[in-house]
Amino acid sequence: MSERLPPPVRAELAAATRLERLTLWWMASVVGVMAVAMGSSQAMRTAWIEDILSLVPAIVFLVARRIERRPPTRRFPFGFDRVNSLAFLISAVALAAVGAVLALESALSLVRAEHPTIAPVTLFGATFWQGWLMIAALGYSVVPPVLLGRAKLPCARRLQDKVLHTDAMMQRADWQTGLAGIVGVLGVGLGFWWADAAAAILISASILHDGVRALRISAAELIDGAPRDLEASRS
Amino acid sequence: MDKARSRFRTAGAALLLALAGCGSIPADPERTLERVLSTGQMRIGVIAGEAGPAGAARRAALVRALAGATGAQPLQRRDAADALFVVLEGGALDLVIGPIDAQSPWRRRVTVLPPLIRLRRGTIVTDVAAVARNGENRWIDLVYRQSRRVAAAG
Repeated sequence: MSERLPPPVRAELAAATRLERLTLWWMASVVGVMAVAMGSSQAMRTAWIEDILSLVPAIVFLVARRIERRPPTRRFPFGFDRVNSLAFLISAVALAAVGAVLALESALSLVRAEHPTIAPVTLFGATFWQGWLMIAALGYSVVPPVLLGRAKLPCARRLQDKVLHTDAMMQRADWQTGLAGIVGVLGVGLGFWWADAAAAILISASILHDGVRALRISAAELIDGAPRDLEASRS
Repeated sequence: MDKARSRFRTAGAALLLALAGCGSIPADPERTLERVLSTGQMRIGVIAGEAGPAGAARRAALVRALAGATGAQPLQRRDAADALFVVLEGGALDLVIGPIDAQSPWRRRVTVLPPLIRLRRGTIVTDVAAVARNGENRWIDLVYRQSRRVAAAG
């Protein structure tokens, strides 16, 4: 498709592709760091899952870009321009489903009054509370989404690209998630056992909200509803 | 963007507030260590089982180390592992020490600290370890450090 697009749009798409590739590498490093530091904190586990999920829109964008360039075939005579819509639906379903499961899991932890243990850890001969390591990892997880989300949002608005816009929104949710996770771990550290589950519920509610919103927009588009504004709160 | 900035500020303020209490991090939600220090008593359950002479010696060393660190008198009771873990979960014991199976379903419900000694009988490996109530992170911190010291001392 890109061959038929005007040069400014093609340049914008190329920039978006570079941003998405950078997202994959940078967020993969966040997922790795979080996995190493993760203890038994529900909030941290939920934040980690959200970080893994944040790779989905980037992957979907890159795969869709590759497929939509293909020329029409006998079986797909109208080409693959709408593969983007299908990709958007897939990422929306993934977001909503995981958000719902995590919200349920966190609510059950709260109801069962599970007291999370964050034990000490010994690294290079020094013993310290593992919560500090978790907070450092969560702190690192906040940096890439802030920078990448800020870079993607104007690009998504100019391109009116839903997947890229969902991705930028998800990055915003990501850094908020990181901060909520830090508050949850600190809460546990201060002796508020419920802080961890409460932070996890907030994080999963944010994932669920993003997922449902994206799902409504993508469903409307698949049944040929009127085009939706990227920033629309109603779909 | 203003909304995002305001959220960022709120989270920052919460963070600073929490960091102000750093000296008391981690804390025990059920105040186990505070209670041990204030009453001068540590309620310890000893798992009746095959700890062997080496396991029993390490257990005694840990109890001495904890008594030294807290200045509390150990009150010990001996029973089967399941019975002691139920009491530990309910908060009527501060610590359980003894052999704990690697596959024990209790490992999800209580916090097993670093092994004091690892016993091997054929292919079966059992750790003699201290077990604390979940979430009592300050008490767990103290027992963790003492357990490692005892294990290292041999």
